[in-house]
Amino acid sequence: MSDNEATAVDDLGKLGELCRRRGETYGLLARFYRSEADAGFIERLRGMRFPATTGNDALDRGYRLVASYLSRPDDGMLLELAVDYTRTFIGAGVDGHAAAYPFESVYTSEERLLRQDARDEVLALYRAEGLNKSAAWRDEEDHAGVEMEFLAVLCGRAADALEAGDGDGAAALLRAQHFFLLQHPLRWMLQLAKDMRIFARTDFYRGLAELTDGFLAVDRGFLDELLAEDEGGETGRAGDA
Amino acid sequence: MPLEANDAGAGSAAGDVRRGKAFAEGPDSPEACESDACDRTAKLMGRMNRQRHVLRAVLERCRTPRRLDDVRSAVDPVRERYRSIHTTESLMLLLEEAGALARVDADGGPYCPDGRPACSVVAIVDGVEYLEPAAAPVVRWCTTQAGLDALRDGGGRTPLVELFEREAAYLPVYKRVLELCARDGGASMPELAQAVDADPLVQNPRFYAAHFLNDLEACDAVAWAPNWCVTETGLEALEMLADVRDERGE
Repeated sequence: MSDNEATAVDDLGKLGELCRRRGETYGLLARFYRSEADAGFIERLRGMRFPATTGNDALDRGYRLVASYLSRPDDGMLLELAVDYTRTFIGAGVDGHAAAYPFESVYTSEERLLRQDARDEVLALYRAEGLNKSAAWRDEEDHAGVEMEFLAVLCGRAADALEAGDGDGAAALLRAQHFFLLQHPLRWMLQLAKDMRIFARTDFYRGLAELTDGFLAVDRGFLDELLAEDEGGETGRAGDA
Repeated sequence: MPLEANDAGAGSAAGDVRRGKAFAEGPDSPEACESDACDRTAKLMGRMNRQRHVLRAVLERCRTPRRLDDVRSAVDPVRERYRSIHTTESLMLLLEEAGALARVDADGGPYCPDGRPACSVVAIVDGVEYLEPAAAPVVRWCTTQAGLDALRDGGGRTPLVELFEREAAYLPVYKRVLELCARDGGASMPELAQAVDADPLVQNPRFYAAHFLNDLEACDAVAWAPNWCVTETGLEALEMLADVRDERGE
């Protein structure tokens, strides 16, 4: 293998590792949104390390808030988090403005209803990638947790492709992630994060708002830059002489 | 190291907790704070009358500072007899909110979660800084003065005296119910119903055995364990009714 080939393979490997870590972060966000925190999730979070300085203020704030909250005693924590999850995402009113409802349709439809165009669009995109709603999932497909999980799946596939040396396959997956991120999460989840800051009372869910804000911005910047380079022909070249 | 029992001596940290100084919010004076806590605790005990045995069990257990697991293991058996959606933990949080219970740290001083006492630890791996959740501080739960007052005020002869004065016409029925519950093994609901429901005294207005049972339970004279059994207070009630003649029960 020539030096150029070795460098290209090494670059793909590093990019693959980066995609895998991006996928893990999307997976973490998906878990935060999907349901109330349980003992297993808290234990998992307590065993993690969070970057102290990412270069993005919102991301740094988010990690600090979550890590500080996890440093508290267990007494009452799960109950407090269950109450705050309900307060933040479900609320107790009927006017459509009593919580930060984690559904894209609510934020992108005129009357703040569920099951609007956004839900149909994301479902079509999931199916285009061979995915469908699991029977165990009782909520809508445009739930924040599901959209984050979709991105986690795409990141994982991109990482697999890169590790296998399939630059073209990886590029297609990265473009799909970019498209989905711009057309869906970035159209509504920043407003969701703003609403979460109003309704959430624990640093755990306030931290989630910051993490969402920060990570979506960072990932968009990453994909913008990567795909701009790709258009210039620098990625997907493993195996070229 | 377990904390030792503290008799709320002047100047002690646990004593401060019991004097209501553990609260982050509320009026400035400790006396006003404690009075509010007493009111809130009384309202809580009234609102959750059906759970008062469990609430009292929590407050009893926490006379000395206890960890959550310790309180759960002592109180969960009591909860078995008074089923509800509330866990021991959620009841403890309600008591804390009312001011009857407070959290103390390892030194016995008030624990304030909102003061952010714990910071995440910075770890450096390969030259990169990371945040790690710090080890959680040890927290114990301690009954405050308001909680101790509630324990002292709950039950006893006074509610019974008030009940028997108010319901003087039905004293024979109360006596009958108490005597049945004082038997070995207590009394079941059907047995009480058979003894009470046909009594001419309860036909107009119409009352059933459950009405009298509820009144006695509210005064802690009877308890479900698992049949309806008389308590110490119930035995005192029987003494109070010694001169009452129950023709139907004889």
